[in-house]
Amino acid sequence: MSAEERLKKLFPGLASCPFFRVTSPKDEDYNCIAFAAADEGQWWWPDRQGQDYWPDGVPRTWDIESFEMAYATLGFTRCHGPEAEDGYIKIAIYAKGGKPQHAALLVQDGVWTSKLGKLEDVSHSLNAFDGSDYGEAVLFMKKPV
Amino acid sequence: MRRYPAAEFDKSLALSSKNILVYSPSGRAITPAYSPTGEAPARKSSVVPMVIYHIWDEPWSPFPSKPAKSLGRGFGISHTQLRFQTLVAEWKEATDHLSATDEIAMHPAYQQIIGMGSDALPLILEELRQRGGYWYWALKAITGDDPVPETDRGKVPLMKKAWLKWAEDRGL
Repeated sequence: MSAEERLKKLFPGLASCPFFRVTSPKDEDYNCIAFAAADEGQWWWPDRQGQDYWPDGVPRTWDIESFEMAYATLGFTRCHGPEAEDGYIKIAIYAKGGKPQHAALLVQDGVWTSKLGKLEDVSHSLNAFDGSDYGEAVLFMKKPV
Repeated sequence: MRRYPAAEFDKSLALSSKNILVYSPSGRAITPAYSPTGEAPARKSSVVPMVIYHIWDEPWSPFPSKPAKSLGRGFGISHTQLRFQTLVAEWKEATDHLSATDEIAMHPAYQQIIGMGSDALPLILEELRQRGGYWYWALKAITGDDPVPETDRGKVPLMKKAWLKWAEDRGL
């Protein structure tokens, strides 16, 4: 089974997504939160055991506020929607039940890219993960290029 | 080679695991008998299975590259190894797409591995050596130790190196 087929099975929304492409091989050295932060060298998570990277001074709590603060350390600020804005990098944070699960980076209007846990990087639409473990995009942040 | 009487054959384990060969009492492999992912139909057999488990580290294939006879008699795994490999397969399938470490580590299969305690330690270390994986919660939980420096948190290759050095220092 190809990576595309495997991922479509895992995330059925990718099957009908016109932007879906696998853009990297599997890599367990970084996750989606790190990828959206342009850091492919660390696994970002505010885990309870303190095993993973989380920016200094940001509470290690699994909630939207903590994730917003983590990206704020890189210069991101909260913004209103997913539309591309000239001169800005934009990210989306997905959550389910109020708990962040995923993050994606806007490539161009309507096209996002993200890392799927320990699996591949992919490009996709914002809503391609609807109904999955990732929940839905609940927070958008941007920073100047 | 370890044989399990049919009465002890835990089909649910076999179905959720990978690359398990099931043998008839005569020793003839009824294989591929079970697919871990359900992608291929299980081959029905009227033979009551006397089960010998073989697990190896390749994706399931209808035409295994290592047929049973090439593994030779005498090759086998312990029940602990079987249980561990079964749980690892279940855990990976359920969590490889996740980023939430808390969720990854709290998965029931991972928690069962932690619950195996020191029996699981050499198996976890071997898994980490051979295939990597997020074993840091389990290692810390089982050993009560943590050799990863604060500055290396989240740097997966360095975390792996620190734990393998820890194991080497203890002859594990």
